[in-house]
Amino acid sequence: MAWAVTAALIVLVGLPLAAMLAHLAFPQLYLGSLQLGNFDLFSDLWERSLWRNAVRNSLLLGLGTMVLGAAIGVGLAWMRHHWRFPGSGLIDFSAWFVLVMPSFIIAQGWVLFARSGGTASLLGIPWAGDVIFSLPGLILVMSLANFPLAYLAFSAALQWDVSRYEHAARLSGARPWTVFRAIRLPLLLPALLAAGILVFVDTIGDFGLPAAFISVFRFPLIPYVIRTEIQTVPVSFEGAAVLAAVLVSMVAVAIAIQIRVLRGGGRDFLTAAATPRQRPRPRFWPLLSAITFAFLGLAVFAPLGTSLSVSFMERYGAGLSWDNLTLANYQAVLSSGSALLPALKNSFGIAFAAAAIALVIGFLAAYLLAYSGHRLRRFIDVASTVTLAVPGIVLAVGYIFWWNQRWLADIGIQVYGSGWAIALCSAAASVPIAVRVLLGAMSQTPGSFLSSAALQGAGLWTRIRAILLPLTLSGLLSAGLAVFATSVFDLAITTMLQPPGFPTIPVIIDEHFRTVQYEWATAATVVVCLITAAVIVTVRFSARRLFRSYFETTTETSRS
Amino acid sequence: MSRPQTSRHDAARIGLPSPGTRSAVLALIAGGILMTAGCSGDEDVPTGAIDADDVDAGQVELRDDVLTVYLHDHGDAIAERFTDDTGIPVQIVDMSGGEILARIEAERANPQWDVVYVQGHGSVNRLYQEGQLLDDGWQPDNAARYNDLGRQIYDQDPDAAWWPVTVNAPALLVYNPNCADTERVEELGWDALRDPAFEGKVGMPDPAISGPAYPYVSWFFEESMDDGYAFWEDVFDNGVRMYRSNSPVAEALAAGDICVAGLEEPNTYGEVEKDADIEIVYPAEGTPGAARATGISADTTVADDARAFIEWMLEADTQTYLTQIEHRNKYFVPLVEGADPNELLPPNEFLDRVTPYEFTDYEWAGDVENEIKQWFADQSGS
Repeated sequence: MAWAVTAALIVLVGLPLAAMLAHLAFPQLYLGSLQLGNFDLFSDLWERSLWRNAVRNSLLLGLGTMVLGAAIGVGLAWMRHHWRFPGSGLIDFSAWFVLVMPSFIIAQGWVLFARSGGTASLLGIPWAGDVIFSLPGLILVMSLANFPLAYLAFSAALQWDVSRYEHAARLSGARPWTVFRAIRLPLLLPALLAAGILVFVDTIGDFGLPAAFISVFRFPLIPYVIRTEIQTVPVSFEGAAVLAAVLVSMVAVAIAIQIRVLRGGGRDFLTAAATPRQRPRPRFWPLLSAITFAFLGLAVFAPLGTSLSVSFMERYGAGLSWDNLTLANYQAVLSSGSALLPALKNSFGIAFAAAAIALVIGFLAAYLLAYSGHRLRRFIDVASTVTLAVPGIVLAVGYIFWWNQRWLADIGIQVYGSGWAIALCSAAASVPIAVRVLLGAMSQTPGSFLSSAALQGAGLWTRIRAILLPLTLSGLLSAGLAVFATSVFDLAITTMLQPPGFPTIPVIIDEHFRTVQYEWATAATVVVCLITAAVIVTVRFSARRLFRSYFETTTETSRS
Repeated sequence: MSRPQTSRHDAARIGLPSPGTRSAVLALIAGGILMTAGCSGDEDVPTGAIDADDVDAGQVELRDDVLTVYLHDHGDAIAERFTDDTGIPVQIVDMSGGEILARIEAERANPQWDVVYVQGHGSVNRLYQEGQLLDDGWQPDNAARYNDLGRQIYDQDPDAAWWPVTVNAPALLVYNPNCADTERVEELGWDALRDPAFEGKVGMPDPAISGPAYPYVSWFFEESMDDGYAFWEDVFDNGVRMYRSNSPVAEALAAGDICVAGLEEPNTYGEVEKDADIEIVYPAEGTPGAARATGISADTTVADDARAFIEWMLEADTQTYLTQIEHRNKYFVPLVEGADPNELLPPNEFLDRVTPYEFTDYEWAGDVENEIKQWFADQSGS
């Protein structure tokens, strides 16, 4: 089994990334020629102003968003966990809501909001465009899209109840400020840094924002330039490989910093069980509520409310008046012959396949990591987490390099040019999530359960089926639905690997947006979001009905 | 309360950030943590095992033995009509011009296409020069029916294994009369793009991304590369706004975000048809022209079907049909005898005669393509 998991990880992750690195040395590799490159392109990073600008812009955007996004997230978390005030739950709502929204959807909302003739000018703020379509504006938009990462990281840290230490310090005569400086701050510092790094990495690898903004505002960022190197003439696979390597190095540096800081005592905020601390209601609670509502309006309502309103407009730019309201966009999106219907079939098929593959591999890998001492464990551990650090656009480039080879086609393997390329790549990107979630579930299932079953003569499959599956079902379901939902909307991977004549949801929405059919694009977005939500709700409901016995078993174990 | 449980393996990968973090948290949502930070994720909802082999990821690949055409726009209209007329099944892959050429390059080791049909005959000629087109001496019978405009292109190299089909302007000089003075634009011609009066109010599609933009910008380089660079440098200094393709340029112009632009002919007349605030000037120094051209893959397994497709594209009936379908790309001038351009095209209120397109030497245009495109890409002055 360990060998099978290893082989699967090599195919999903190892080979594509190796192929990408190989293209740095052999730029003609995709043509089947092993001609050594001359490494000139690395100097282009300094000489070509497009590349120089893209690297600089990406760094500025990443660092700026790191500061602002973390500040927003941390500030909100502080408010939420220290005081009680009406509307505090809305902060959680907006954090989750923004988090599950694909970045290109949020960015499209902002474009529609800030464009001339858009929502902002209808609301009487015509200068919004000048603000949003600038570096500070992009940093603001990115911060509002990525603050949930910082918010959740920091919320988890705030839920550590360390009042005992504080009380001890106060009893020893320390002043409140000293307590804060000497006890609370050092305890919160790792979380603060984690929050910042998370935001930085997610920002720098993000493809959705530049894809949405480029139709109105030219601001080169590395992920989009990688795309243009491969998808516009003159095509430069080598250029894409170089830029991808640069992007991965930036991410690697950020992660290295984080690992150093967190060494010696980490906390996994993503699976943190929270206990609300005692939260008084302060005298200035109206101010806190006001901040909350203002923030909700800015982070959620401005972009997504705009998209929603545009989907009901006959003509974008004509404003929200009775005679401009229509359901025609929805009719167009859902009528037969609409471009969306085949795309729905393809994208949901891909998302389903990606979820299935990621679950199977993730489950087996988590099992090996949790209960076995196999010598391949180290490799599986690394291979099943490495794609966490690789932006989707980079992984997709690796997939093109690996699967688009003549000799593979000659032996009848046509992955590139079929939907399977997208499914495999999405699965590869999602394996770490599946592994993490399932490890969390398995860490609460002692190995002794399995050992005693083995002593009774239960085979491996019986042990998995009768003990491990029931105990980790909720994790499996969560991981599966998460992979499913993100794969439906993954623009970066899909746009790079979409076969000709194979429409997919994110690309079709992006295309319509790019060709200024905003009404259609927003209506399609709303429809797909509703369908995806319906799938998630249905699956969870029916799973609960179908496996009621498992459900009961689990509660008993978790009580013990 | 108590520390959250984490295994030692988890500790090893504490908080590894990622683009996937979004999904990780989504996992928790799906797992039932909603709205309240502070429930534990122990939802107990199981799922059935899924066998990955049972999953069908949609229609998977283009069939090898069916004619596959990579073309730019009006896909379905062509597919249905071609099969009706000839009985030959065809798979149309409809992408933007830039995407088609990039896709062909990416597939060089393993081409999936049989026929290419894109805007910009220089690009098709480049495929021919690189040996990617089927060059077995065959010429369509309908090549004898080219009109004068068609001859201008075809006669430059009658043995070439690619054929011009229709022609239009990769850019017309257009302006919004609400913010640009008509007489001023007419007087300046193309120089309006670098006129300080329109500083920050000039738009263009990005030649790195938009297919038709290259024939447009390269037209200014033909007489002298230096003059071309000087011209476009002035345009950049004038604060030109770059857009991803022609559609947003048209939209920005109609909205008054920009006042002057070079805009592709089909988009321009699409706006004219909608009665948008757009006026056209045909400058004295000329209007660039570019043909849509077609060729057959050297790797094709269905050469006879591909040849039938080329013949069919060069039929007067086909070209007349394409000027009449309800599609953005009906605004072109046919290159064969017996077909007429769409009625909105000149002679009309903007020009009292047939458009005097000027074609660049396509071999030259192919030679300098990378240089010019890279220069434009590097001018990104945001």
